[in-house]
Amino acid sequence: MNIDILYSRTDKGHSALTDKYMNLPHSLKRALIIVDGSRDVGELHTMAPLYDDLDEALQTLESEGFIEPSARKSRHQPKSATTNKPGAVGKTGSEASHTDRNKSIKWRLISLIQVELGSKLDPKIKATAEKMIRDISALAEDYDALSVAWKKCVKVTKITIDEELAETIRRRGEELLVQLKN
Amino acid sequence: MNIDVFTFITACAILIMFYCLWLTLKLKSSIPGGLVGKKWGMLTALVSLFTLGYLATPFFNQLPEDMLRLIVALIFLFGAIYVVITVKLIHTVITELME
Repeated sequence: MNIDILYSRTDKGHSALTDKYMNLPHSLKRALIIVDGSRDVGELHTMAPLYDDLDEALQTLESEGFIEPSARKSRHQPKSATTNKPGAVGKTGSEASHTDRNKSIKWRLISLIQVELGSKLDPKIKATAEKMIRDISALAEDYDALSVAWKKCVKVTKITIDEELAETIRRRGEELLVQLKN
Repeated sequence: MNIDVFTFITACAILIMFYCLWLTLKLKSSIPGGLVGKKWGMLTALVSLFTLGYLATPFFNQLPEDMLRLIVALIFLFGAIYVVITVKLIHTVITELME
């Protein structure tokens, strides 16, 4: 599932939480509770790492009309849309924007690990994902540090978990890191 | 009970092979897949085979000579396969880590 999708509850979704006669399955109800219209799928995964079936629950909720995709948050917009135009923003604003984007990339890398590895049922994979997330969380928000850590995550995944998954993680991580480098 | 050198060495070999089997199975549960996980199943099967073969060692003197020669040849063959898989696995992991 795309980690950037932002869901919000529909009227039916709001009713489902307040109507005690609407008996949603537990897995759907807990997913519906954490959907708030401000956190994307990646953030929901990071927020609720023990919800193994979160992707399936979100898809079911969407198909049943309890939630709907909303507009993306500004921090996930392409670089051209978020960075300063010539002369439009001063140096301080540019630096602040750059720092925000870096933080966003680091956060999205963590979300990516949570979605791709942390949501797996295998406890060994979960433990590996948690260690990766701890390692990346402790890093400074710069390209070199995150790039080295990301390569390590890819190698560990390739050697001990799954080669195809490692390739997916490598590709998607590099797409994010390129934004940070630029 | 008369314990000769042959019996002593065989008993040591069986114990070491059981330890090896335990290590292999323990590691198998820690490696869900990937480059190592794919080969680990084959290594586990070979170690299991060797363990069975080693357990049969005390009974080798009751086997006909032709059968004994065949078993030894098979042990050499599977031993060579085991070594090839292990060396290739180490090579793959080192190559991956060096990239």
